[in-house]
Amino acid sequence: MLGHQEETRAAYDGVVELYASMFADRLESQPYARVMVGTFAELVRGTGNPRVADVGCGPGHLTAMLHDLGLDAFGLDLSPAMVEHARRAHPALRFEEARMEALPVGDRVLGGVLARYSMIHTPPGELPALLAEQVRVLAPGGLLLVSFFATDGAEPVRFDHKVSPAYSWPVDRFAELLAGAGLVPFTRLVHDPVSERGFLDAHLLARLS
Amino acid sequence: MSVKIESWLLDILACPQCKSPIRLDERELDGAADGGEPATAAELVCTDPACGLAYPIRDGIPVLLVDEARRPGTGAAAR
Repeated sequence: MLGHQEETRAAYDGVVELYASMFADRLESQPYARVMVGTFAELVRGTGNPRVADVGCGPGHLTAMLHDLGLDAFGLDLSPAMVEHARRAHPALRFEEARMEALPVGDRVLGGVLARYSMIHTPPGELPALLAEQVRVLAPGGLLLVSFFATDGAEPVRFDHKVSPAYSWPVDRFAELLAGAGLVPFTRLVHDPVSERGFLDAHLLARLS
Repeated sequence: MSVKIESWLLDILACPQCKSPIRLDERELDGAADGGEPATAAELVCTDPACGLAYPIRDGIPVLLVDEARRPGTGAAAR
């Protein structure tokens, strides 16, 4: 396991209760973000393959939301404490300890992958390989919804996220990486910062052609 | 305690090392508790004989990390 992954795992292990209390709601306070998740779920259902992975699921609230939206959802996270919390909070759903860089999932079997702020800690140079791994598990026509912090600049910006170092991205640059991985990005939502951190929030929806 | 994993999920799960299918395996542990049922350990085992890594299931949570897998035929972790 690479150093930054160990660091991220330990950091999230240490903030489970705080994090769960901050993010346990199902986006009630963020209707715009909720619309993107709902759109993702509807499109995934439309593919006829309702199986989705919530990668970097944290306390599992979005996994539960996807389940409620009619999908066969499961969550995976590198932080054992997060997974344990998710399992306790949602005992009917399945959660696994796993790395999104080495998904424990077969080739071309999922209708969708949700990566909600879970790629923010990946150094820019490692993002193409990370995206390729998500694409590997998607069935043709499968969907990826990725949420991240956005910046107006031309380059990704490293910043000290409360939990572990993270990167904000120019939306166009992130979309280019999705295209480079074989995906077709077709819907984007960018909104003003939700947190006091000050970065824009971006949500990109892409389909495997 | 036996472990149940939904069949749709078992169908799509794969070994994170070699991406081969994995199967659920429950084995009895040595030294069962006195008078009780033999203790069992559930694992998810890679079906590729050349790989064969066995991943633990702890408190109902599959740990699908290569670093924490057991090599077949040994009690040792993979690394």
